[in-house]
Amino acid sequence: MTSLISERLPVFVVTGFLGSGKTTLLRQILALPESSDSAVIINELGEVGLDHELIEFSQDSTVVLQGGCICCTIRTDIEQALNHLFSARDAGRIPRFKRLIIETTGIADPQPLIFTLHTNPLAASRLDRPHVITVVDGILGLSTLSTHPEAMAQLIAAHTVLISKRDLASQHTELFEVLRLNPWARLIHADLLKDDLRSLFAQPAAARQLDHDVPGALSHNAQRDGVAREHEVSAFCVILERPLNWSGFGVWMTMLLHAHGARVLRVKGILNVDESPGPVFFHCAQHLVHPPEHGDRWPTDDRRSKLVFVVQGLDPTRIKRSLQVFDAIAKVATPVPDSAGYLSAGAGGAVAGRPVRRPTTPRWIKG
Amino acid sequence: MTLRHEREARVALLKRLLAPFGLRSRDWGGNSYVLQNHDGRRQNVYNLNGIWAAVDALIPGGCDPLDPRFLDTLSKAEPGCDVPHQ
Repeated sequence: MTSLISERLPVFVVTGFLGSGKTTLLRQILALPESSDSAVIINELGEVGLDHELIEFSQDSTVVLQGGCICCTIRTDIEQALNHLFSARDAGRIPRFKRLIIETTGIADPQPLIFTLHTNPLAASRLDRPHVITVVDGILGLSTLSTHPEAMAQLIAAHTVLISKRDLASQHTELFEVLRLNPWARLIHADLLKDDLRSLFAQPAAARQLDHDVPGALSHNAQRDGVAREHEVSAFCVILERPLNWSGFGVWMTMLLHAHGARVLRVKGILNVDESPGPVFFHCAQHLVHPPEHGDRWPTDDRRSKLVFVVQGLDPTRIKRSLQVFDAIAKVATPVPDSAGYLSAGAGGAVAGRPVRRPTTPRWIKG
Repeated sequence: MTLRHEREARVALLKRLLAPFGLRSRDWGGNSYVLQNHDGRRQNVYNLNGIWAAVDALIPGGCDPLDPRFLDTLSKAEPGCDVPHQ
């Protein structure tokens, strides 16, 4: 029983615009003998036959979280599919699959799906962090990215970008420049029908290592003078010389995401935090903030904080100045020594306009 | 730094950030925040996201951390915190 709940299965999200080659990729991968231990969730009916392991979706029902925005929606169809798959797996009705592949529709923004995989209790306890593979059409990709915001969202969410149709088009200089708006993504140029792409679905741990590759993203950005622009999407890096105050950073980030969350497409950073011996890795995508991770050691001798932003229509200089101001104030803001900043538990307040009073600890408990 | 110290530091920072809006923030019982405006109206919120939503409700136009005027006001209020425009 322990093995049922202690393992975390790798999960791969295959996304890409209509006609980019998602299903071709999936067919090639699922045809391999080692794919027999895979389960597949697919949006479109009848694209790939995988007997009882195939779950089909024809509806895209969504529920908006209270206080959330449009990017923080729960994909209930995915939740139901996960429940069905894992209950069947645990009951022995289907083979014990060892990895999960989810194919999105071509016009889907993958963010709600990723949000669901992070917040759904079943997914959070049984699945590893999702690895997003975005297929970009090697011929039409450039025009698709410029005309369809969903295609840009798919690109920004990617851990790996697979440029398809290498056999049909060879010149991609301009396309590669646009793809670099996601500076963390591994770029692979492939012929989906001929190349061996099984390594794409084999090493989620190695892919996760790329999550922490902020210096790598930074160096690439530096080669392009720090900023690349395409349809108001820009990628840039903020470098801070002094160690960051963690409280100040947290308050600033929540305020920034509250005011501009839909336009802060992704943020990744390696932070030098006050009183922290090693680096702190920070990662967020729109309103979805991942728990920060503490590293044991710095990857290089450079101990400065580096934050790479991918934003839409926001001014990089304003973002940097804002963070610096918040950090400077947090460093001098000392806690109030008296009761001016503190209300006792029994002081009373208001929730949704109604007066409330928090019960104080009874005398018989205090002793 | 203990969780309590971190919370106190956060409240102290919020006090400075919200002062330009005429708002006062206080820690209530160690697990929620109370926002209060000039009229004495109080709003109880449980996390930072709730604070910004409450500020939006209490202030026309809400608060924007990238607003240069807001940053100028903060910089001038705290000696040594001035970060020039770049």
